[in-house]
Amino acid sequence: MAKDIIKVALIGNPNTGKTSVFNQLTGLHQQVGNYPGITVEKKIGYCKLSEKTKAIILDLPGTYSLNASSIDENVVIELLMNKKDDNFPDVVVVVTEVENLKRNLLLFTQIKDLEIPTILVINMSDRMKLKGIELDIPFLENQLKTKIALVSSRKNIGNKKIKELILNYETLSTEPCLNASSIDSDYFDKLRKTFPNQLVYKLWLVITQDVNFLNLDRNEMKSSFTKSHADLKRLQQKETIKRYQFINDTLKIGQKIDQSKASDIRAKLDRVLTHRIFGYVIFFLILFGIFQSIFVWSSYPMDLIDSCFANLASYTKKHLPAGEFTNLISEGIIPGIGGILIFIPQIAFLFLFISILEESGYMSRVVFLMDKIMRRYGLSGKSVVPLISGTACAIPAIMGARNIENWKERLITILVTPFITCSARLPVYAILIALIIPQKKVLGFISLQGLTLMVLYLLGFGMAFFSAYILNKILKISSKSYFVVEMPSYKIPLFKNLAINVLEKTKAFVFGAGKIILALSIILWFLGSHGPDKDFKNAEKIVEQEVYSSLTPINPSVISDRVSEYKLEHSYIGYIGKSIEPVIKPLGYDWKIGIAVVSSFAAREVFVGTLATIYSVGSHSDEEATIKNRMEAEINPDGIKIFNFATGISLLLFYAFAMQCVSTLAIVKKETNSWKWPIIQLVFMSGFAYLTALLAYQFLK
Amino acid sequence: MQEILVYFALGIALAYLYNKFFGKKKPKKNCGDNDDCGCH
Repeated sequence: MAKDIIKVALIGNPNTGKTSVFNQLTGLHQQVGNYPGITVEKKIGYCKLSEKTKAIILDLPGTYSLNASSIDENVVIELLMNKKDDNFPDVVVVVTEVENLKRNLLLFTQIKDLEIPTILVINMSDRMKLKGIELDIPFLENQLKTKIALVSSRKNIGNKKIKELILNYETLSTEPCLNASSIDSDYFDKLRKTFPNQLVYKLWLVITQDVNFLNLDRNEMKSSFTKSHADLKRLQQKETIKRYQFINDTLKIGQKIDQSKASDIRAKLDRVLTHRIFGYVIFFLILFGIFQSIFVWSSYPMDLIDSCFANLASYTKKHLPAGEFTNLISEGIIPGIGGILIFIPQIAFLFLFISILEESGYMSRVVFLMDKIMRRYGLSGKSVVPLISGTACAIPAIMGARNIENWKERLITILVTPFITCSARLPVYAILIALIIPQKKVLGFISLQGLTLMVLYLLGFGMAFFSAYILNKILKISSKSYFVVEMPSYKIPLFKNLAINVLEKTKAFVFGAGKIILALSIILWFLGSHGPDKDFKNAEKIVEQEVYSSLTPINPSVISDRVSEYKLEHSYIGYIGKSIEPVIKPLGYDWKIGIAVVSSFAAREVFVGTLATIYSVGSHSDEEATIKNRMEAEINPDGIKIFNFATGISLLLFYAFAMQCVSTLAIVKKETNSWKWPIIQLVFMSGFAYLTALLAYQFLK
Repeated sequence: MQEILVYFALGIALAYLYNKFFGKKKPKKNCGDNDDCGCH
């Protein structure tokens, strides 16, 4: 009798359209999470097969073989080896691509050796005619001992066939399609005799890989069966050659390619896009276009979100009963949520562009192009994506480093990405540059302020590469370093895939980092609007007394501003600011800047908001101009401007290098599975920022 | 009443952050000491 629920594992090489097949089968019935203890994304979807039967489909990370080289690939092997795993599949669906069938079938033959019912999906069948490819499906089914679904996930062809095959998975043969143990019959016979209840291919995987999936006594296995490392590698190579021989023999008959029809557009495009000069020019032009679009297009929805939340805050303040909780809602929670949602347009646009580059096949060319440069700094060609994404936000950028197989390269990428100028630094830079850099033109047409901003961006990239170089020298992590990148065919991106990808990434940001930012906003609001002593509670009386006893006449409208300022000074956060004043004074900062620096530890952009509160400008209509004017007018007891050139440069350098983002630290902890790296990152970045800011101030003052 | 709600919200925020950064994580699934892991 057929099962009510069939567990399906979707496996395949990267770029075979596995996720498209997953999206077509499951639609929006998907859940995204992580595998326990690690940060590899786990996608589960549901699909109705018949009136009574449903399939739970697990989209596993792309892998080239069952010889794991990254944590993504480990996940696949661990699942297929552990029958007691909740997600252990009833049937495996191996997705391959019609143009790369030869390479894709290696993984298929390995999975067949695990004797799990396996279906072979040959995707992108719509390109067969164009590429002059013909397949003898009955022959292939016979040789590969499986059932084949010829599909095109782009054109929504073949879904029904996959569902039909999954439904009838019990009829599939579990017999391996070749005898891989013939590479060393004596050795494998000995293994078989010693562990008669075990599948010999599982044992082989245990011996050759360092994956913690079996409770077999590895020492016992080592003493009896482990050969030298070189011998094992030689055997693995023999196994791979044996598999490819079988695949070649099968495809010689089962696949016919008419070379005259195989169009050469791909090769021509590759020659231009990976050219050693034009390749870089095209890439930087595309990047330039993307960032222009991100900033220009995002500004409209961002302004809209900003004004909506500002209106909502003032509406709640006016219409809810006056009190502490209303203040928390209008001054803490609503601006806190607004502070998260305002980044949605930039993040959505960034991921839309990245998805287009990935889906079209161009990103793989960029990765290939950049690998040579990146390698000099201990990075991988694949580090390009996180570093570029870092200009929008370090959080998704660090998450984007997951596809770097080499742990050392991945770690270096994670550690240096926060140096890249993210969008949260922009408001800080904008106001400080406006304060200290004159509105002059260089050579008659280049804005000095714009140039300063560009220098700050370059400084971020320069520091990221410099740190990567140093980390590469000092980190003693040995891991295999090689570069394998798939060069998929060029395709027009599918709207559905783009939409799902953008939606998932945006959701991950809002519900992941967003919750932390919101919680911190509540705490910061509390610390800023509550004080430990009577000075805070009696702020109104004290300020009024001061005003009336002063000899100089004061405009009554300024009194409320003075009260806010006094309250802030005597709030918890004010005391924190004052307590750190001795540390920040050598950098040219007073306690008010200290508060802004401390509060912006939650997120850099909080700096401007905090200064706006400190300088009591909330009631003025032209907020930015007023903040600027107030900051400009701020003087220290010696009568010198607080925001002078030296302090401004010191602050700019501090924000360029300091790890002022608790969410980034949280994501680094999550991605590295340890507190060690975020703490090192925090100490190094903040220490370096402090030192450069100190030197800049002391030199320039 | 409003003050109670403020402290309640603050408590939730603090508890959330504590749980997020210092809370116990579910142990990683593997065979461990269990012989019957299904791999054999």
